[in-house]
Amino acid sequence: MSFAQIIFLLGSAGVVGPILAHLLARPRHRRVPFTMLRFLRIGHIETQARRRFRDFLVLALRCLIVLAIAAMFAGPRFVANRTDDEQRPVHVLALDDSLSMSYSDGGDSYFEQMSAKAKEYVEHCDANSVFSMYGLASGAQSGEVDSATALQFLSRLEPVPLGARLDDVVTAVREEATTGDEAREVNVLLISDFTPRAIERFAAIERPARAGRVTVEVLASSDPISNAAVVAGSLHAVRGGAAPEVSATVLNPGEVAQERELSIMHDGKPVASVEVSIPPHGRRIARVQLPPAVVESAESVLALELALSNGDGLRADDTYYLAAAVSEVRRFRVLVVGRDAREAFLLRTGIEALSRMASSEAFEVVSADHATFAGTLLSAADIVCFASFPASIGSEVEALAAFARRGGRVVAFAPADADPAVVQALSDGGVLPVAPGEFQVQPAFIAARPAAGARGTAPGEGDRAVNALMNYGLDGIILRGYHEFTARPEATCLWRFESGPGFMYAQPLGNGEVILVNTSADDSLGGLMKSPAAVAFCRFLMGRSGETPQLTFGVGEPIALPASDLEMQSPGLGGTVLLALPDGGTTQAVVSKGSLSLGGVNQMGWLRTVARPVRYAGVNLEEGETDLTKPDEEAVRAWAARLFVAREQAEAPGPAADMADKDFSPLWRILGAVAIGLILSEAMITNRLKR
Amino acid sequence: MLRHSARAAGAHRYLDPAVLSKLGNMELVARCAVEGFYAGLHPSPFHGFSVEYSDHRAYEPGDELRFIDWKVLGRSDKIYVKLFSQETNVPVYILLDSSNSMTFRGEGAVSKLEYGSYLAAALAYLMLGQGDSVGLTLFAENITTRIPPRSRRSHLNAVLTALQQNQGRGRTHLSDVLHTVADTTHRRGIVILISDMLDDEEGLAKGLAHLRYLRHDVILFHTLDHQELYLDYDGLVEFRDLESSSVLRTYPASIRTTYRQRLEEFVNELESEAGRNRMDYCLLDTSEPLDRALLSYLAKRKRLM
Repeated sequence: MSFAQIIFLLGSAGVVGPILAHLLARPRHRRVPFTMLRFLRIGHIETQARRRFRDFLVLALRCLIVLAIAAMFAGPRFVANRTDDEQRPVHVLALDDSLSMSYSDGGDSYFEQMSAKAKEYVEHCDANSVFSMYGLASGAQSGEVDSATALQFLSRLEPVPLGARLDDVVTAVREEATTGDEAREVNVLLISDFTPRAIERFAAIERPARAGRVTVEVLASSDPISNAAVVAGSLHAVRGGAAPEVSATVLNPGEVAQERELSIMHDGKPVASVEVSIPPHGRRIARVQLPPAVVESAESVLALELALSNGDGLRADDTYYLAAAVSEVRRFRVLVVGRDAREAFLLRTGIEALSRMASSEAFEVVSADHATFAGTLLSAADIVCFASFPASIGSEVEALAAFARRGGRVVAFAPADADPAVVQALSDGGVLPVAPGEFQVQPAFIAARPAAGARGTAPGEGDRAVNALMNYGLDGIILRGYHEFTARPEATCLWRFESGPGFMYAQPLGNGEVILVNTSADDSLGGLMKSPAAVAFCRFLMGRSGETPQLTFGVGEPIALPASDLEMQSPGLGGTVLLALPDGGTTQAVVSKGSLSLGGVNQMGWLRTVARPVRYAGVNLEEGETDLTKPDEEAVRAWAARLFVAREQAEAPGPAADMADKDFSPLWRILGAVAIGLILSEAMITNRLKR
Repeated sequence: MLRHSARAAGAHRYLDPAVLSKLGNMELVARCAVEGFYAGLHPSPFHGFSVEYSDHRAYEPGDELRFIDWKVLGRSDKIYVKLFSQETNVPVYILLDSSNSMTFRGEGAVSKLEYGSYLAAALAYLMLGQGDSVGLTLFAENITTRIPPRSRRSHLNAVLTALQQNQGRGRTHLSDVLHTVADTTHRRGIVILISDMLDDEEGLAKGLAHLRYLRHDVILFHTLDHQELYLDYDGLVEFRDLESSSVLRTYPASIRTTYRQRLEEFVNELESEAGRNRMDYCLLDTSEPLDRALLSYLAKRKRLM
C-alpha cells in the first residue's frame, strides 16, 4: 500500500492520547473497612477480569479510531507488488476494423495499411513488451499477449459492418494506469480513418486516461475520396396491375461525382437497372420498374439486391439488401349501408376499385339498405360504411359500439338530411365523434392538407394515403354544404374545410375507430366520389396505407418478420426456426404470435429461413458508416492528446484529486467507514461492558 | 387508645440504636430500651409473672407436703405443688463478640459492637428485673472478660460497666470460646450469643453443638451492619478487612448480586444449623430497633417456663 499524503500518517501519533488517558485516568476510590471480604472476592474475581478486558478493548478501539482517521487522510492506495511481468511495458493497440477501413484509393486499403503499421509497431517494440490488442468495431480483444500472439491477432482481424468505438480501450488504459505500479509504462497506438461517425463516438468519451507514449495514425487518402453507397431501398405497388417499382436512395459522401449503374438483382440475376448520377456530397433517389414476372415468381417474400456498378474505392456499401412481403394479402369485409343501392353505388364502386389496386389488401364489399340493415350483419364485417343512417340505427347503437370496440371500423357519411336525433343518439352512445348541428347550405371547399395534428400531416411523412389524397387535389372538390357539428372531446378533426369547419372527424373506440365525413357520399356539386380522388379517398377511409411491408433491418437491429404461416406449423405456444446467416452460419429465431423474432445480426446480407416457407430479411449497414470525409488531422491529434494524458504532463495527484478518482476511493472510503464503525462501537462496548 | 399508641410510638424510639447511642450511659441505655420495649407491648405477655411464686406442677411421691397448694386441691380435687421463683430462675449467659469485626460501622449510627452492647445491656436489665441471673462474657480470640451469673440487682452495675468499658480488638475465634464456655459452665441455662458469626462455620457449629449437648438453650443474635447485608456502596471502593487487614478494590455495584447471594446462603446455613440444633436464631440489622431482639428473648424465656 502507498499513500498520497504520507505526512498525515503522523497523525497516528495521536494514539498516545488514548493510551495516556488509559494510564492516567485511574478512577478514584475510597477506602472502607469491611468484614465480609470472603464474600466479596467471589464476585470480584469474575468482574475484575471482565473489567480489564473491557478497558483493554476500549483502549484498542480508540487507538484504531485514531489510526484509521490518520490513514484515511493519508490517502491510501493499494499497490500490489510488481511481478516481473508487470514491469514490462504495455502497448495498447486500438485498431479500427470498421467497414470503412476497406476503402482503397487504388493501392492498399486503409485496413491493409493499418495492419502493416500495427505489425511494424509490434515488431519494433522491446522484446519484453506486452501488447493489448483491440478491434474497435468488432470488439475483439487479445488481453496482454506477447508479440507473436499480437501478430496472430492482427492476422485474424477483418473489417466488420459495425461502428468503431473507443470506450473499451480508454477504460483499459485508465485501469492500467490506476491499478498498476506508477512506474509501469503504458503506450497507446490508435489507427483509424476517423470517419465523422467514428469521431462523434470517440469524442463522446469525456474522462481522460493516463498513458505514456501515445501515437495516433490517421488514415486518409491523399486523393479525393470516391465512394457511393446505397443506403435505403423500398418496393412499391406490387399488385393490382400497376408495375412494381423499386426506389433506392444512393448517397455520395465523397469528393468525386459518381456516374453509376444501379442494378436490381433477383436470384443473382439482374432484372432491371437504371443509371444514377450523384454529385459529390449528394443524394439521389433512383426508381426502377420491375418486370411483373419478378414479383409473381416470388412466393411470399421478394428478395432483391440493389447493387451499384463498380467505380469507387469501397465495394462493401454498394449493395443494399431489400426484402419485401409480396403475398401477404389482407382481406377485409366491408358492409356498405345506404338508403338504396343507388346511394351506396359510388361508395361501393370506389372501394372495389381500391381493392383491385391495393397491393396487399383485398376488400370484399357487401351492401345492405336501410330496411335490411341489422346489428347482426356487423358480425360478418370488418368495416361498415354508412352512406346514410338508417332510422333504425338508434336501436343498434350498442351493437355498433361493440363492433368498434372489438376492432371494427365505422365510416359514416352525414348527408344534408341526416336526422339530428339519430346523430344525437349515435353521439350519446359514443359511436359518432360529433354532436348534431345545423346543416349549412353553402359551397364549401375541402382544405388542401389534413388538419394539424391528424396523422400524416406532411408529405413524405408516414401515411401514404394522406399523401395520395393530397396529390389528387382534394382541395379542388366543392361540396354543397356541411353540418355545423360539435366535436366530442375525444374526437380528432382529420380534415377541415377551407372555411374552417370540420370536414372529417375520427374517434378511437376500443380497438377500433369511427370516421365521420361531413357530407353525403355523393355530393353532386363536386362529385366527391366521382372525382379522381375517389379511390385515394376510399384508401384514406379504409385506414390502411397500402405500403408493401419492407423486411430490411440495420446491422445489430432486432429483427421481426411476419410469419403467421410459420406459426401454424408450430401451433400453440410457438416454436423456433432455423435461420441462415449472411456468413453461412445458422442461428435460431422464435416464432410467436404471427411474428418471427431475432436479436440483432452483426453481418450484412441476407438472413433467411432454412426450411420452407422461406422468409428473407435484408441486413444493411447503417447510413453514414461509410462516410469517408477526411478528418482534420490536427483536430484529431489534439483530441487524442486530451483523451490520453501523458504521465509527465499530468498534475501531481493530491488528496482531493485522488479522492475524486473513483479508482482510489474504495480504500479511503473503507477506512472512513471503519472509523465511523469503530467510533460507534466504542460507545456501545463501553456501555455494554460497564458493569 | 390513642394515648397508648402515641405513648408506644414515643417509647419505641428508645429502642432505636441511633437514639440509644446518644444516651452515653449504658445503664440509661438499658433502662430506656427495656422501658421503651414494655411501653410498646400491650398488654404485658408476662402477666402474673412473679419472683416469689411462679407456677404449679403435679404432685409426685416424695414432694414435701408443705408445698402442696391446698386451695387448688379444695377446688379441683387434684394435688399440685407450688413452684417458687427460685426453681424457675435460669441463669442467662450473655456472650458478646468483641472482636475487631464487631467494631464495623457502615453508614449507620452504631457499630455492631455498640449495638450488641446495647442489646446485652437491655437483656441484662430485663433479666435481672425478672429475677433471672445474668452473666456476661466478652471475647475475641479468647475470653477477655467473664462475669458469672448473679441475680442481684446490684449485679447489673458490673455488667453494664463491663459493657461500657469494652473495646473491640482481636480476631474472631468463636469455636474455642464456645467450647470454653461449655466446659466452664456448671449450670444449665440460656446462652445468648451476640456476634457477627464471621468465623469458621464448621468450628462454630461444633461449638454450638457442644453447648446444646450440655442442654443449654441457645439464642443466636446474628448481628450484622446494614452495609454488610446489602453492600450499598457506589463507585470504586477499596475494602480493608478489619481483622486480617487484607485489601480488595472493586466496584461493589458489579458484585452486589453475587455478594448478596453468598451472604444469603451463609445466613440460611446458620439458620438451618440453628434449627437442626433447636437453637433460636435471630438476624439483626444494626440499623433497626432492638425490640425484635428483646421479643425473641422473651419468647424463648416464656417457653422455658
